[in-house]
Amino acid sequence: MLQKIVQRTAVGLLFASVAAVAAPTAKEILANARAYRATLSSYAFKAALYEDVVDDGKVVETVKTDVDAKVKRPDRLRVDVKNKYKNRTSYLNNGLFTMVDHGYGYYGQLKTPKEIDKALDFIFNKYGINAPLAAFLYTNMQKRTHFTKGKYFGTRDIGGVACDYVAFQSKGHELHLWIAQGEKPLVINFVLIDLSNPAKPKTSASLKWDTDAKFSDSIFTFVPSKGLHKIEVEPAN
Amino acid sequence: MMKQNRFLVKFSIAAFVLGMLSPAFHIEHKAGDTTVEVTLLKKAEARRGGGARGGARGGGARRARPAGNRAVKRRPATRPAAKRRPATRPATRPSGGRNINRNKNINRNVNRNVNRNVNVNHYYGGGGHHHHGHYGYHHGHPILAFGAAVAVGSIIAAATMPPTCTTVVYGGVSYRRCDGRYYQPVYQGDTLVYKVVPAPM
Repeated sequence: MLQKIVQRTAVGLLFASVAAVAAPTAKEILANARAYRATLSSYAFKAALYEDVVDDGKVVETVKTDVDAKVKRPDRLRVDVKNKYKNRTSYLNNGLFTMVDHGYGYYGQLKTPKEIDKALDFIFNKYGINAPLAAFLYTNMQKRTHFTKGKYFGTRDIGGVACDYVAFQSKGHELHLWIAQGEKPLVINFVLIDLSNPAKPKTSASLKWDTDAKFSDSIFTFVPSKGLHKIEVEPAN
Repeated sequence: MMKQNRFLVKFSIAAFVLGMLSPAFHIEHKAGDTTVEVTLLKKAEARRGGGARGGARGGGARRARPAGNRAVKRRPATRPAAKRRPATRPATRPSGGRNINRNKNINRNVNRNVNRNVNVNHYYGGGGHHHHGHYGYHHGHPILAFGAAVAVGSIIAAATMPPTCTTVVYGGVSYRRCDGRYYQPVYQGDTLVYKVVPAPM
């Protein structure tokens, strides 16, 4: 009798394990999403980005930023960013990085490597310039972030889009992602929590994608209008 | 009897191995809806207050539940301290006469792949720095607000420059002039600031 119970339990456990193995893992879902985006040669996304501002150990403000990004690989990128502090357009065009602050009438330029990934690395490593939502601009994000844990939470409905909800932990951070199911596995929402800060500030965004975007080269070409002044760009630190 | 015992031993080993390799399961019943979650990351959804925020702003994660409502098994807040080595152990352990200087290269690849996992914020942020009540720092020195008693070389936050200042261009370089002082705009990284400079003439 006991042997029978034990045998049935063992069989049940085996089936459960097989089922668990068959379900997609969080890492697989994220890897699939990144691999898909890397295949896109021309795409655009708009994002509403919210970033917590911490002061004196507390979240005191959440800044909303509208991000409008256009990508044409291998060497053209344009990102428009607007928030209460900034109204800036950044261009990467065949090895020339330009940032323009429309409210102030200034722009700065840097010569960079031509390819987008290398150019973004260059402006960050040499000048401390962060591209907005760079995770969705690089082609090789899989090599850039290392997560210690991941979890798949199942399907969630985000604005009518069936999404896989996955979450990851890395050193000091927790990243939650809602990735569209189907042929275009793109990140629809994300929330990043900074666990290294006692206030646990969050960065979150909702993204709308256009994977069939067609751009003329002029969109990526900066032409200084009258009244704009070119100024120096120095390393941040 | 002997046969049964042997079987129990085998089963225990199999169950132990399965337990080690299998993820944890969480089964939840809610309003006739059953969710089975397989997890290696037990705490993630408990912290999903953030997740709900992102979802809500993006049109809403329909099944988002308030954080902390789930019966997630937690460790007790106070648990016995892990076994540690004694803080003070002899500086030199008996080596038994062996040569303990194994010539290990302790400076191995410290700077290897500096881009890897620098900071996840770098990849998911808005590409700027927001400060509250102050304007950040430049090379360890605070960026000041316009109007403070500033010396040549001080760095002024762009947002605090009065619109009444005039733009002047000398030698192809643009300056702002306010109350007889000159301010040179410059990008320090992605931050627009003004340096207090001597009169350019």
